[in-house]
Amino acid sequence: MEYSVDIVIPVWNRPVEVRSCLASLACSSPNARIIMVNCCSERETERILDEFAELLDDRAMLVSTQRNVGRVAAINHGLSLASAPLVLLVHDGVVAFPGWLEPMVDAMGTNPDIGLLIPAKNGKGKSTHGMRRALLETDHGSLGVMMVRRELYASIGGFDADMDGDLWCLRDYSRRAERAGFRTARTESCRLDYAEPQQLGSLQRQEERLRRGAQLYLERWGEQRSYCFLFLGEGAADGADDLLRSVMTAARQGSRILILADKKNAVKLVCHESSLLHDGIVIETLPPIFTARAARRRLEMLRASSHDMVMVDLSGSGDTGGASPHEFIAATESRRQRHYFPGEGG
Amino acid sequence: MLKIFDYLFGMFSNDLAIDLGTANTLVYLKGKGVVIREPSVVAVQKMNNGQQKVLAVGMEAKKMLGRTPGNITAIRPMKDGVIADFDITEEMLRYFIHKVHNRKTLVRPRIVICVPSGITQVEKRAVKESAESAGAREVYLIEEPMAAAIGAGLPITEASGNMIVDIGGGTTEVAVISLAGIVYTKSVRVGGDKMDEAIVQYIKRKYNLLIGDQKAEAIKIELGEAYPGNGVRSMEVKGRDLVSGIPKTHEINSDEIRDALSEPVNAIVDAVKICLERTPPELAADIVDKGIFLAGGGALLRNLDILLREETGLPVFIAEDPLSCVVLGSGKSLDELNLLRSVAVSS
Repeated sequence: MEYSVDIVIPVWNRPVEVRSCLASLACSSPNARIIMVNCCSERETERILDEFAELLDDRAMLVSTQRNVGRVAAINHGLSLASAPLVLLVHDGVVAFPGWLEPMVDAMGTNPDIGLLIPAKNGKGKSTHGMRRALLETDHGSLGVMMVRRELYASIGGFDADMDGDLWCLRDYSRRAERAGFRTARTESCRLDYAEPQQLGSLQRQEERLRRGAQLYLERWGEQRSYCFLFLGEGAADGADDLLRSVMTAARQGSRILILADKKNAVKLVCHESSLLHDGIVIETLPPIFTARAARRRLEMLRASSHDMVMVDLSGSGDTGGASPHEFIAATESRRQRHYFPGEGG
Repeated sequence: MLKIFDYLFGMFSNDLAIDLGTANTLVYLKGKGVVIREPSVVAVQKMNNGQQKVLAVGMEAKKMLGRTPGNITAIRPMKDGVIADFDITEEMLRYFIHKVHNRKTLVRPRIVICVPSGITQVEKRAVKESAESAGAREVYLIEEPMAAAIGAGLPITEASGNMIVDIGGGTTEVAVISLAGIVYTKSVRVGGDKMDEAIVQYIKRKYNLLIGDQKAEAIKIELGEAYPGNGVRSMEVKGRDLVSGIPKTHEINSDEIRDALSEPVNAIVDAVKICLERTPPELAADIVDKGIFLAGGGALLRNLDILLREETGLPVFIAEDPLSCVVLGSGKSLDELNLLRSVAVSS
């Protein structure tokens, strides 16, 4: 039987949570197959997995690793077994509810260039499927709940188990996805209350892992940049299509973008075809009176607090002392082509 | 005066004997025999405030699992023959007492509860208090080997030594009994459950096939043996292939299962040998004459008696109804109050 979604859940002990999670998945995801990857759990948890495997029959796959390989490797193993066009990664702390999958499946269906999709977090567990909510792009997914397009996995392979298994690993995967032409997004049409998987090990070890992950990311993708744009005056946003497309590209590359704009320009920017709906892009609307003075003050504050922020001067006057739009576009394009990353299609 | 009331109350009360086993709980009702035989399982639901709510006990609890979604878990309050959770044990006792006891009578029952021989004073008091709060008028505790010996019909009140091996779900207790007292006892945390577990692990290691506990128990009953018998039996086993993740069937035979059971079985044999070594020679001589008696569900393992005979050189016998020995023995003691008072342990 062909399933539209394969749900991959790596398991290592936590029998109470595993039971709750599997019970909720079994009830609320009737068209999905559940792939349980057992990482050498104790017998109590293994019994629960066996119980659900028997209950679900063909709707379940239960595999075991020879040793505890860790969460990322277990997820990669699950991904390698999946055959459905969409693969949902879930950790055992998640409790699903009826109708939770459909908004994500719909969003993936109507946006074929989205490779990674996560639900909005800390909601009340109600799906707002049917309501028109935007997809917001983000620079990384989540190992708590994330839908992966199988086509993307086939193109770039699994997650890098050498990284931290957390933020940098996810950012790296999103960057690789972006290089393969896929976006990472969050859908507001499905809200789910879930926690990120707990990181194990001492605080020192966790910090060391984060540092190593950040270092690896830096070596592969270069430094993350921050840019500030000022859209002031009549028509500032008109004709800036190339620039705004580059802004989206830069955000997808992990750059942080701050756009200061007066109200009219802010409205135009939000309605632009590039949508600029990305976690990494913040549009600050300047006050309607004494706008120029407010802009100057804001820029002074930013220069004082963020030394690495690059001001992009749209006026061409050189007043901001930063880069020109042309330089920004060139730099973005160069970053897109220049950096090496290993293991594609693995 | 109190003795007269006791006698009068005894005429109307529905006295009970309860064998609180790791795997199963049996209840004997005076005059009726074994009326309950249910798994020692409690289904609980974890509430938001962290407390646990008991949803079902026994067979109902076992049926609930795997069928009802949510945060319902199974708890076995008796683990390896030890009370792991007193609150849940009390709930379980309350359930079985209420299920059996005729609430129409005004008199609360006298209850005999079988406990493992290594039980501590604190645990004894806890079990007594649990039973009393569950509705008992009087509570007597009998050690399981003693109850098993009574149930097996051994002359425990005589001076001569009797050896009983009670192989339960969680533990195996080997005891030498004389003059209504346990002279020496050795307990090991190996029983039917460990045998099932050994079968699960063997099949997992050899065939990368995961089977459930119930299947393992069925294999143990069908193919399990402690000593080679006549011919090799085989059966098909369905489990989950842990490499491909999908259901798969495999044929296994009795030779393999004997191999799988060798570790737990040898642990039981070792316990018997140690007990024999440490028994006073006078009593050991009695045991040589009378033999060793096997009781409990584990006694039904094919050719276990033959293996023990080979290893010890002594006659080995299996009690008539090994599964019910303990509770039948406790029930017998209900009918003979003097016997009960002599064998009961004090808290």
